[in-house]
Amino acid sequence: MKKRDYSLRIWLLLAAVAATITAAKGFGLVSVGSMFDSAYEERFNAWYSDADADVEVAAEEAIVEYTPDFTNLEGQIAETEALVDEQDEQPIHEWVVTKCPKPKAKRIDEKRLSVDSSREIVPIEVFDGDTTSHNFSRFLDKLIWGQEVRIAFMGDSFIEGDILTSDLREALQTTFGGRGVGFVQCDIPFATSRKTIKRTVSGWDAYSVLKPKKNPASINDAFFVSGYTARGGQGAKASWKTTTAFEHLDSCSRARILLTTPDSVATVRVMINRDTTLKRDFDIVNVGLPQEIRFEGSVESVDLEVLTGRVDCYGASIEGCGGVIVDNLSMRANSGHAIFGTNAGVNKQIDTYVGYDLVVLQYGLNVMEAGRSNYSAYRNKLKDMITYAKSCFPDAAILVLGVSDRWVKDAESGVYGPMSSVGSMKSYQREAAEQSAVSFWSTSDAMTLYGGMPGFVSNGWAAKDYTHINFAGGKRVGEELHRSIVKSAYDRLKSGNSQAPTATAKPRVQPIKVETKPAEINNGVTFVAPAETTPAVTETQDAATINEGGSTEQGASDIIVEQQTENLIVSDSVAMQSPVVELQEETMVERELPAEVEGDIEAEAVVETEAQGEVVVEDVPQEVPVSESEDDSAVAEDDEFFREVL
Amino acid sequence: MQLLTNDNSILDTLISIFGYNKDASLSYISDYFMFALMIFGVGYLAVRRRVTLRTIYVVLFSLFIYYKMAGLYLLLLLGVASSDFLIAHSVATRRANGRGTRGWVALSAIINISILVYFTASNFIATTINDLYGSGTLDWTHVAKITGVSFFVFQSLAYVIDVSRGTIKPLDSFESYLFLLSFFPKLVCGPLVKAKDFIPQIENPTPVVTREDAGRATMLIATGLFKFVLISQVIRTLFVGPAFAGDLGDGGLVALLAIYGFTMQLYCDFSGFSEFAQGLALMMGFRLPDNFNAPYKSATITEFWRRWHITLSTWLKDYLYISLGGNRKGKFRTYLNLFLTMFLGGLWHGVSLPFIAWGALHGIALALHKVWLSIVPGAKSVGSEMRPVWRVLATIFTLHVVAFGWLLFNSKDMETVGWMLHNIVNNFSFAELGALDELSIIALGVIVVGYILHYLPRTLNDKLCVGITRSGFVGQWIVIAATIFAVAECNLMLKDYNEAKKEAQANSSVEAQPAEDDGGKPAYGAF
Repeated sequence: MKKRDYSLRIWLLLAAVAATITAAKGFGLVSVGSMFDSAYEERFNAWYSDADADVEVAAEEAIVEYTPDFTNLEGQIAETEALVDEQDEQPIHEWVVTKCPKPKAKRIDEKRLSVDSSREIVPIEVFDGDTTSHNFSRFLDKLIWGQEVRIAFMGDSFIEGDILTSDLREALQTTFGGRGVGFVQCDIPFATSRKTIKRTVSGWDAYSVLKPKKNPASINDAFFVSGYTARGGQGAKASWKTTTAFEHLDSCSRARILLTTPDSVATVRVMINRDTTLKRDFDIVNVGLPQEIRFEGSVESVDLEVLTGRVDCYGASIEGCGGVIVDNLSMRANSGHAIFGTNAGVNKQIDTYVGYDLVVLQYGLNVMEAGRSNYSAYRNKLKDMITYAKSCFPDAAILVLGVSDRWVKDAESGVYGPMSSVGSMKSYQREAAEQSAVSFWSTSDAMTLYGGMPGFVSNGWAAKDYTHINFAGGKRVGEELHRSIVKSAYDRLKSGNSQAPTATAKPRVQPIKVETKPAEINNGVTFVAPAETTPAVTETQDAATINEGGSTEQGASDIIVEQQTENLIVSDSVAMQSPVVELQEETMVERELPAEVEGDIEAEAVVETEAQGEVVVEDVPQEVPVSESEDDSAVAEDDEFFREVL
Repeated sequence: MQLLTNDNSILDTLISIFGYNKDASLSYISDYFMFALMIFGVGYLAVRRRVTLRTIYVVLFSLFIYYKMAGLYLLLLLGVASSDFLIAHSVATRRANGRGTRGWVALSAIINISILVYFTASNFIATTINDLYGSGTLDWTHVAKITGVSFFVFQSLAYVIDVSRGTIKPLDSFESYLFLLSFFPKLVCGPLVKAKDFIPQIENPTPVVTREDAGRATMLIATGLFKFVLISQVIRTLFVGPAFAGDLGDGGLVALLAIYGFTMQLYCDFSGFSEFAQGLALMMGFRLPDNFNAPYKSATITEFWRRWHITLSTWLKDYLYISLGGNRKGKFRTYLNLFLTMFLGGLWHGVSLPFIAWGALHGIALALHKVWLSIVPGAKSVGSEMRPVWRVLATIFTLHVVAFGWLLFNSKDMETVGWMLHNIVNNFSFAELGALDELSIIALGVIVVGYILHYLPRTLNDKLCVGITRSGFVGQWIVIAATIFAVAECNLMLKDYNEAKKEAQANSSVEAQPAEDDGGKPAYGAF
């Protein structure tokens, strides 16, 4: 008997099922997925907050507590300044594709400073008056008059991962302009993630100022306030790439890499935007100073690779020209004392490169103990931190943030209640700010606007330890701080006292050394190989020949030479189109430029391509005497020298 | 690809439909597959009675599906098929002339096994060598695990051996051989088919899907999906994965439950997929062999291997154990062969210490059971011959041996094994139950349901099959539609879960372990 074939029917069944599913999806029937959301939240809150706390405890156990040493501070600064004086030029490696436009003082439209004053605003209390050079008003004036403003936001795990600062940065950049994430460390000794930058590193040893016992002496001698230095030998790589997690983070126009070397010389390769035509090798000659590689031009990513020698890398910054730049300088488990373990000379030198206008000190959370109300010792320490920061960043205003709100669990009832120490800590911090004549803003007051810590926890803005806010919480606090800053700026504008800020007495930016060798020429070759000078010249001549033959590409032959008093700055403005045009220009600079002159840089002049004939291929070791001695002995000699001088 | 797609949305769409995207390779559990299958069905109904046309049609669709899953590794499949097709003919010719065939069989074995070793062992070898001689010595770690490689390689090798043994005649047409290797329902994770059983079906001019077949196909698809997604994926995502990764803490009870959970997860994962494949094949009138038969009902380890991944253990027996000499060379060689077979079977799943240990465990257990059978009078090799009490005890014992094996199987390294065992021995406390979160409780509920269903008598399964068959078109429609709904719903939830986890990780200042989730692909040798 032949059986009936059900083939057609079963495929029709499939079609019917497919039609049903499609119809159901069309009507949105498949959407009950959110019923487990709270269960998910419960699980992940438990997992990730606990891990956070554990790591922090572990970190706190092993760290060193620094005490301020002001003699040492002065010594370090004097040492750095002496080293700077010794140099013919500042150790800045400038590489310009599109030069940042000259800043113009233009007052901000008043409307942009309007804030919603129907809600309470936590005021920034300014104790420094209008007299000192690093006052808060000058910071506000720079904001009002559209100047570039750089903020060092120093803090503990409260802001780790760019909590708070990412939103503050976004809000400030929206109001006052500016782009980019700012400074980001190279490698750090533990894993973190930041939405605001994509950082990949390999081949580095990361060191923390809080755990100096593990570190080589040359690392401990030269920490920046970032608190972390990464040392990498040949093959170490680091990459920083912009993200779009927040507004204004991409489409940047300037990048900086801050680094130095423990060897007499090291070579690094820098590539911008993963573009092989934007690849250059730099010789980092040890002059005992932190150095900067500064790129100006369109930038989305920076790649650094160590070719020869070892490099101590502090980090990199991707930023815009002008506007607001906020550097998140967080160190977990740091109560602020880590700054005493950094090298004031290094800090000050880096300040001359990047130019800080405001230093925010967000600390205190790690110091509070339940039931304790006297924090006078911490107040004194905070005052020392302020003094220290003033010395390192002489042009910056200081803003002390009061401690954030925190609740603690009652041991018996297990119920969370307000931590009484918050109020006392806040008043001691305020006192420190007042006695040091700087500014103060209360974080806990800002949190009170949203119901304090319980309000944050119930909104999901803080971890259930009632101590750490999360990104959502950071957004609220960051926005409140932004509101307060804008309000201060508005009041300043309305007061009629606001004037376009004058240039500082000392020029911050002294781009003296131009060094843009294409990577193709100096491909991994060790430093000071005489052979390499020949191809460099050849390339240059080739370029000149091409240019003489007629400019085929617009701008391809424009070598812009900038006149700065008697100093020549040669910018490679053509690298984008024509990577073969390379210049090495030995130039001299007078360090102490008068303020007016600095404010009036950049009288630009286009010169003929024949100017290239005058290019002197520099012989770097002759310029840098220190480079031939071992760095340890050099430091020892310098110590000797300073003791005599002082 | 990028250049082609600029400003060309139609081409874009075509490429996304027909091209291979390595970040979103095709899964059987997807709308895409469902609709592709529907379109395929229209053509299939038209050509199903014309052997050559049907063969070519199914082969083309299978190759397309494989391309969507594995990209250009499709060429590997074609290469293996071509070489063994030709080798099999040479073997048959030599055999007909009464000459030896060893050389050709060895060639086929070398080709197939090299491919297998390259794709399974390369990471292990590269890691080991780089550990010894410094990183970067051997840059092999990019070698990806390729979907289904081990399945088609095994079947192809078996075909050549069968021809050399005279069990089958070599196929005359290449498309028929490609059909044998690439038939899409079983391409990715079995069941392994025997050429002897399958070739007649390929050549059958009048395939028939009977009423019972239609009902059974419906049931197999429904139960397959149910097991694979609603049990296995839920257990894995909500409980077993986090527990093995250490996210659920150091508790001994959690570790123990995770092992029981994985035992159920793996079974449902693998057997669910096999049943799904059987159901699909049955819709086309093809019968694939059963791959599982309630393996945890086994009372002995020997019985276990007759119920677990039956087609693989049959393969190992027919082509590895027997090739090694089987039980024809004395007791010692028998035990050694058993051990070697299982050891190599362990390696087949992936080259890592835990897999090796797992294979060795089963090899030793099988050999010991053989010894036991020979020295203990009245010992039985399967549970059905035992008295009920003994059978229950033996089943519990066997389950635990197997579960211990799965602990090895699911651990990424021996440290994890040690850590889990340490927790069970030193940190065990029933108080942990109270501390489990809602999601763990849900997963534990699913695990319990899984075990209950597993231990139901087989007759219930048959009754279900009869019931579905009798329920007719509408009943079957409801069964499958409801299952797919539940599956879609469950997938959405698990997706939400993973997104919530990712977000929580990003919000946390502590970077968690990089997720080792392979996106719902079966955990066993599905490379």
